[in-house]
Amino acid sequence: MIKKVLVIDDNEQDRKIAERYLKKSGYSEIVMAINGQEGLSKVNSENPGLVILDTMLPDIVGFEVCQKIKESKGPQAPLIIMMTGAVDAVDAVRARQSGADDYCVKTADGGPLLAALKNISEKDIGPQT
Amino acid sequence: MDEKRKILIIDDEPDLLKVIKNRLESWGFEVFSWTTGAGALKQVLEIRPDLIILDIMLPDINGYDLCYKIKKTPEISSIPVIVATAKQEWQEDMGDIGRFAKADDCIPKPFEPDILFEKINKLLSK
Amino acid sequence: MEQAKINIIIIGAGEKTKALLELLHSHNTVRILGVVDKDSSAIGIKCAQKLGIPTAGDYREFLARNEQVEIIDLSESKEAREELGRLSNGNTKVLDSRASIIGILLQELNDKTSELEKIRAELDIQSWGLKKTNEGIRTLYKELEKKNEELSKLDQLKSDFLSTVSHELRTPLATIKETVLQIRDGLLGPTTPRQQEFLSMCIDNTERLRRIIDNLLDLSKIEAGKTELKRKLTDIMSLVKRTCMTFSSKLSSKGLEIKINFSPEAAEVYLDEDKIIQVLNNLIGNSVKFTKQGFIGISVIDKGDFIECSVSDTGKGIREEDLERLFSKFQQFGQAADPEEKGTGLGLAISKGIVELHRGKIWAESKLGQGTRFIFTLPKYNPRQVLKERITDSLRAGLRTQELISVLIFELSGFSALEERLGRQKVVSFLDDLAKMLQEELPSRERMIVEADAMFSMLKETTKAQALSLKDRLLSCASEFLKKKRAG
Repeated sequence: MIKKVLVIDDNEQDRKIAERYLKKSGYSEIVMAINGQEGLSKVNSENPGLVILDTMLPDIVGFEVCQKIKESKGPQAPLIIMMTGAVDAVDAVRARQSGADDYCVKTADGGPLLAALKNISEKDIGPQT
Repeated sequence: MDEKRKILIIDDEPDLLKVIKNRLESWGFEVFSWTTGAGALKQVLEIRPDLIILDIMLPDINGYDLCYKIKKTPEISSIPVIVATAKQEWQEDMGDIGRFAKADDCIPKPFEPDILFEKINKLLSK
Repeated sequence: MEQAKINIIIIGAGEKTKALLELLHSHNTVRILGVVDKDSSAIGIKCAQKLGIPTAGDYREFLARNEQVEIIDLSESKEAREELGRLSNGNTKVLDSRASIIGILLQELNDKTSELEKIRAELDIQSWGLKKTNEGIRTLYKELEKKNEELSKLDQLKSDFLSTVSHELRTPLATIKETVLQIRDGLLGPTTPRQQEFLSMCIDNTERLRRIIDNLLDLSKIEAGKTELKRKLTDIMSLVKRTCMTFSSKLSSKGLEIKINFSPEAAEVYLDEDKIIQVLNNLIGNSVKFTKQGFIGISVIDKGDFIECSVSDTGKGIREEDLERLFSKFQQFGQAADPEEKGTGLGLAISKGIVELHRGKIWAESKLGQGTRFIFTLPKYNPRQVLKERITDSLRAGLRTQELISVLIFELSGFSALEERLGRQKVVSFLDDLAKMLQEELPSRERMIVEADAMFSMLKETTKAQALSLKDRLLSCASEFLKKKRAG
């Protein structure tokens, strides 16, 4: 069961949108990070069960952050959904290679994110209610 | 006894109707008016005016269709029709579209009274 | 990885040897020293020879050197096995053929399997990536469709707005004008001269309001991209001359001269006559307004691919800083010489819109106190291009409504010869008459459009069969018409 969610994105609008749809899907504890460094430290300090990670961060490449999280936390690593503003097949592959559990397009109506979250809950690892 | 010529105006603007009626009566016509597309054809058949002034923007139907219908009805098809409108693109295309609806002439709003007078007389003298 | 090679001697037995050879000969952990078979014509021997592997009738021929050798006996003969059984020493191993082969093959299998595993894992990642990409593309496509829908709704709103607004603005104006006119002209009883004066002022201002509304709507339409040009090949020189003539009385009343400079040959430009007249009226009107003395100069020069028209005056001129803002909306510069003719401030913006719709350019040159010169260019078109454009536009309009369309095109052969013989005017009027006559034969509301030496008609809801029969009928009508014309 996922108790806490960490959103790592440098754009305020995108963070707000992610928060809105996370809440809609039943996740109430949401923490924010505005760059890769902060994200990595918050993964350690907050121990989220799920991370929403932007592919384009100002300091570290999103894929590297993903890899670092998965490597450092090993089997206890949180689920990671990578979010992108554009669609790219090479990036999608790279996301998977970095260990991401999903890869979604950012939209205003949150369609892809909602679908990815639904997927998680269907696998019985949804939000802790 | 000089029989007055009859003009039927079909327009949904009550103020304008009143004013144009005044003008046409000052020119010596007997003026009838109607404000909708519905029943207009019947009016024409009953009144048998010598000329019809028809506004294109009627609340219920398109004035051109009415004009076309009038021209297709044998008993009244010979009555000359002047179409009038304040609407932008119809003012520009009025030449063409008016021709297709088989209108006899057209006039934009706001109109010049002299021009209206000329057009009415031209059509009535045929 | 450098592996020590295993030396092998195969004691053959036909097909099995062949199979083993084919399997092992290129394997780099194995070195086949030789193949042994008493029967030199055996399949195994033949195969070995083809592969360049030494063969012999006795295995001992290959045992010379001091190296590890494995003998694989495929013969399954009891004597061979017994003999080989006595052979095992330090250097020579007789292995259970199956064991050694299996060992080699297992190793190979392992390697291949782990390679396959790696590839499969890679493929999984790639296909996951592709799946996500596809999902992403579908999402973006849906967004695009939504945006498109919004855009076309917006576009429709724009159109509706323009036509509704124009109607709403002009209708009350019509009533105001008529009521005031009637009072002023005495239809409702006598009026004093002073009352008439005031009422006339009211009329003048309703006219001014009407001009502003007309201009505003014109400009909105151009800006919304909703203006459609009605273009024809036109003699630009005569167009300009005619427009100049309409200003002759105003010019003489102000004591202004007009100077004309035209290229010697007539030039034909594909343009919308009414709209270009609007531009000329605007430019010449402006010049007349702002010039107290001197002259207005009008020139039309043929510059090959395009025509250059200019209107110049000896008026007050315009400051250089103001030249930029000239074509913007609601710009008025200085007092008009004639206070009655107050402009709307939109004329130049509209002129610019019209010229640019024709794919031309417009600009101004001026210095304060030294008069102004407005120049605009119009590209020339050739008739074929014109016809193509007209048909394309019609087709596009038809596509919008998703109907069946047929296009009938009639060309007059020997047009230029006829033109030379009878003169352009006669030929053009002949074609117009022919077009009008043929138009009567077309289904109602369809038109026959004439363009240079051809005419076409775009027929809605007409199948090919109907179009062909129509074509035949039109051709016979046309020949009747021609006969009559020739006789007369």
